[in-house]
Amino acid sequence: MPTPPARGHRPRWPRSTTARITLLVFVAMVGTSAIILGFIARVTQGQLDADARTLITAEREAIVATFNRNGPAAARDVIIAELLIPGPLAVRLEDAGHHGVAGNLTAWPAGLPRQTEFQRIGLLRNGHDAAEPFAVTSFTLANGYRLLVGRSLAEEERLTATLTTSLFAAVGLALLLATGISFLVTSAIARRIENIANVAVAVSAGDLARRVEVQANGAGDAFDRLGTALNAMLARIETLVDELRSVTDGLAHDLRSPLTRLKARIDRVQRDGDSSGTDIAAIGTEADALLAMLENSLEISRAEAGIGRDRFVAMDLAALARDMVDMYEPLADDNGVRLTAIAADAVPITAHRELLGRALSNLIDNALRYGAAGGVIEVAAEATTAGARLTVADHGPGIAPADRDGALRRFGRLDAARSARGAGLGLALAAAIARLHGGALTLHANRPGLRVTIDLPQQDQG
Amino acid sequence: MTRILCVEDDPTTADYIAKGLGEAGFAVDIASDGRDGLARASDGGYDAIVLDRMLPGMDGLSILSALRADGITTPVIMLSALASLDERVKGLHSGSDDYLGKPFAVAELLARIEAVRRRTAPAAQGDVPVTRLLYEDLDVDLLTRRVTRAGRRIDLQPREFRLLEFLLSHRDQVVTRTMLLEDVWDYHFDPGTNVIDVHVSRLRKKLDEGGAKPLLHTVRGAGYRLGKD
Repeated sequence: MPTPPARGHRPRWPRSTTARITLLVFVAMVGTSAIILGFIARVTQGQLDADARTLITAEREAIVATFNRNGPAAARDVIIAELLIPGPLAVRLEDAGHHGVAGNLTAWPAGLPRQTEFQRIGLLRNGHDAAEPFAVTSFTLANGYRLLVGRSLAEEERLTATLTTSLFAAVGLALLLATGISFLVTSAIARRIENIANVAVAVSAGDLARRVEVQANGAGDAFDRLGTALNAMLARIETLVDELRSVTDGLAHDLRSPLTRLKARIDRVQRDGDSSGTDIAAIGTEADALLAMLENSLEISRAEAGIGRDRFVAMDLAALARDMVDMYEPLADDNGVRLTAIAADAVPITAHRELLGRALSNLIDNALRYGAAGGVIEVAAEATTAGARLTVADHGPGIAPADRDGALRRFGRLDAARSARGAGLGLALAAAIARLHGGALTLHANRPGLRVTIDLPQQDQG
Repeated sequence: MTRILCVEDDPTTADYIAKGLGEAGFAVDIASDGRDGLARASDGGYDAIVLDRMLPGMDGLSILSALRADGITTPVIMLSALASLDERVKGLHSGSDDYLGKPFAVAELLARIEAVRRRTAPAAQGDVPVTRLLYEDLDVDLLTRRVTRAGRRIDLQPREFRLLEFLLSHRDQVVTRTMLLEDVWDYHFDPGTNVIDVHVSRLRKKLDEGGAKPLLHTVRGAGYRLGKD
């Protein structure tokens, strides 16, 4: 496991996260703005050019039409009329000798072809102080005449400049806002994450009771859900730790008396020797009982933890019942008990064969131990609507309803003076194995006697 | 002399095994970590290997698979403190010849070493299936399931027959209760001391009825043995 970062470093990360996210938002905003601005500039420019082009083409067509119909003089009159009103137009009509016939330009611009559809060019009109940007079109007419029609783009360029300025201002403002907001949001998020991290640190340090603060109105945002989930997990861990503690306490308590007896016998052997060997034999028995108790206890814990589910196999519950009856029948017979199996029909189930066998063996063992007086013990396996059921029924003294919960508890021995082997773990283990299968072990009155059932649900295959 | 390699890192347990097996007439070598154990086992020359599951350097399961990958078929008995039912079954499935949970009695280990050694020894009679087991005046027909002793017919329950068959195929060996449980009943948990004893004593009663020489003996603290005294 990697060592957790030193405590002094931990508060730094949310702040650097804030900085990183803020920077990221800033860069993203700048990038997006650049793309949007570039797009707007292109579209605007294209539109303006198209407008100018339409206008100058129309103007040119009108002059060319007049020229073709009525000759150069008529065209000159049209041009003079057009230029009477000050406007964005620039026109020059010249003859084959390059002498100006009409228009407000003193010369044909250098480098401008005799015939062009559309071109941008700088022009100085008569009566103006400075050259302006123009969109021009030129046309060659009959008899060597040529015509230039242009339209000043100064107005449009002023418009574009204004637009650009305001766009940049808006983007700048948006950038500022976005950066500010992302900083605020990120630091708020970082604060809440830090809050959760603090709880995790506190829990790691041993304070299992710490919980994440969740807003009272509940079921709020993702952080509340995270907090709620985390709290549920912590509550589960706390319960498990408590359970573990109580199991450990119970085990320690139950181990103490046999260990004390063991120690006493060893002391006696040390003091007096053991000529007959009975003490050593008794020590061995006691040690075996302790080991059995420990093993049972571990097996219960494993079953409770769900270990073994991967070993479920398809099996016949009835065959298991017959096996166990077959195994215990001679022993029962020696004790004057008739042990019978009611398990003729196959009961197919998916289960852990060994553990289920062990559970059934524990139940039969218990029945022989405490219910032998009844003379008959029945073991049954049957299919039910919900799955399958194992039953072990005796006709002994039974267990009073009030004592049944205690009998199922780990170390819940009914009679403290009973023999050490099993130490009350048999029923608890059988119950744990039933739970491992998603089933349940129940104690019933058998009038007279005890009837123990293990109900197993249908396992989902695969 | 039978040579046993014991790979075990805990000196007390290693000592216990070496002493117990030594008394039974085995020559025991001890390797105290996984790499040493694998190096020695790879030489072959051992009749059986007692291998601890958890070892420093290299764990038991890795050693076992390394050995088997090298084509070394020396029988291996795995020892483990992980004695839960699942671990036992898993251990057996991992390719070891037997699996023994700690703590264990030397008698149990001895019986199992003997059993795996014989099981892996080449069969003398070749591949012809055995249909009849004869021992002293006992005659067991595995096909008709007819058992006679000195000509006297003995009626056995199916389970008693399986028990007798197992004991006969391990004649003159000590067979422990857990071995019987695993082989005859095919369960790996311990149902308590008496359960198997009663089965064996019933079988013994039927076999030895009529004052014949006892065939089935109880070995104190270990199990049973079918054979001569």
